[in-house]
Amino acid sequence: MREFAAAAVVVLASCAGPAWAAQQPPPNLNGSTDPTLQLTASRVAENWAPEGSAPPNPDPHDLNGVWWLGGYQYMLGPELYVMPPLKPQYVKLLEERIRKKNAGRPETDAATQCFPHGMPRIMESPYPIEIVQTDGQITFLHEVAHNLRRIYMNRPPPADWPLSFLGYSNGRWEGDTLVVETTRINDRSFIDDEGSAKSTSLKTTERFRKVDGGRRIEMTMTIDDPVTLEHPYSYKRYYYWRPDVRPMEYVCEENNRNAPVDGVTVAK
Amino acid sequence: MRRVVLGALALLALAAPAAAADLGGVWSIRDYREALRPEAGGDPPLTPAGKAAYDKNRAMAAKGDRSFDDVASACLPPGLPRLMLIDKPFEVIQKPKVVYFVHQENRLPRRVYLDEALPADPDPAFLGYSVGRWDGTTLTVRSSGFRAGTLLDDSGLPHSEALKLTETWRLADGGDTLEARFTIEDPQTFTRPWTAVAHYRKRPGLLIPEEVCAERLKTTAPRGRGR
Repeated sequence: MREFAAAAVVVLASCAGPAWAAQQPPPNLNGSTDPTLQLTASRVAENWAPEGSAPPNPDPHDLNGVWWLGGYQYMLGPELYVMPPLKPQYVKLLEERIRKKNAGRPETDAATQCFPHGMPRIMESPYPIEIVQTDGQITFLHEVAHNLRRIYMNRPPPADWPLSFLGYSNGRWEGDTLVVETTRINDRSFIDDEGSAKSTSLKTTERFRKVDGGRRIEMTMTIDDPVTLEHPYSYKRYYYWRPDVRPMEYVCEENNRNAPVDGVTVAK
Repeated sequence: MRRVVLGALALLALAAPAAAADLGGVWSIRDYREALRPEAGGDPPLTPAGKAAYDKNRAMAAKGDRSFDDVASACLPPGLPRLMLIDKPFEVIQKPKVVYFVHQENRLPRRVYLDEALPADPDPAFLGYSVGRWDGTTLTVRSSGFRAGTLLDDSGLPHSEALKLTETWRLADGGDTLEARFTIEDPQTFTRPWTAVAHYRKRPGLLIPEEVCAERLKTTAPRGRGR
């Protein structure tokens, strides 16, 4: 069923194909003429539930259910194909990583080793997220590689809480907007798939708000990392209500063939 | 498959659920042991083929060789009931249509879909496919669709794809204890169905950390069995 959906997406993309399409190759980083700096094809797209699906719960404070990102961007900058405001040394690092990727030897990232994707990248995963809300806690069950986030409501992290890939998330409601601040994120993954660097000073702030009668959630992500970024930046995404989807078992570890050799991913 | 399941769910959801107990919260096993044993005493009633497979696993384990165990060697999900028996906390999240068991063990989630028929031919999965219903304050869970290759317990007790598992979950000791009975039915591995029991203690306020099994794997070779 999921395979069918994915195939349908491909068909639609190749037929409709507006801004993002096979005929339009992705640009190079920062408008460079250097082809070794070509970015990976990304797209902004919608991902509505099929017609006739169960209607969403209109309660703005009820996020329960399965939600699915629209589109998929390889680089998580303020806009499509725009780089995060990295400091000069991290721009250089990003260029190195993009060159390695284009040479077929991408640098090892957490996800290639079946580690959690890390924040904020996990929220860009093009797989469904099941949100389960209980008293004092909102749980995100990501289909991809059984990534798991717990958002503790109005509960700052314990003083000695360890660093982790997805960090510690503290949430609160501001009116109809769920605000989630995440800290204690380790630096063993990248901000995005292209390889924008982050440090353990990274803090993400997500603002989730149901829109379109609850048929999608608008999320504004603000990324702040005084070590790697010149200044904080934000971008917006939509997660679509998908009652037709039941999350499947996803076991990255079963086929972990991208184990690193000397820190370089070696696909087998 | 998904559409059929959702259609069945919609029909069955019309039946009003009985009053349920609240199993929600963090729990950890109180009576952990490596080898699962029948509640009635004695040993699991293995068939000759089941005994041969178990003896082989035990002999390897005795030599320190855990290559028969995909959890230890490749971080694959433990099957059932093993996942419910390992010595790590899990969180129960109870909702009207689904009961979730969210484990510390490699962050694995397990879903039990309530008031839904067990599919006749579920897609095989490490954790199978689980449906449940409330009988008063007891949650009865039936599961099938298991993949071969997982183990019933940490000691290496095997099963086949024919495994059917029935669990009953209920609170005891005024809500401080969660009690589960596991009835294992697998005619290829056991001569008759048998039942084991486990108890869990409540862990109020415990925050479960992010556990990443793959971090302890050092090999650079492809992992897991070549399935």
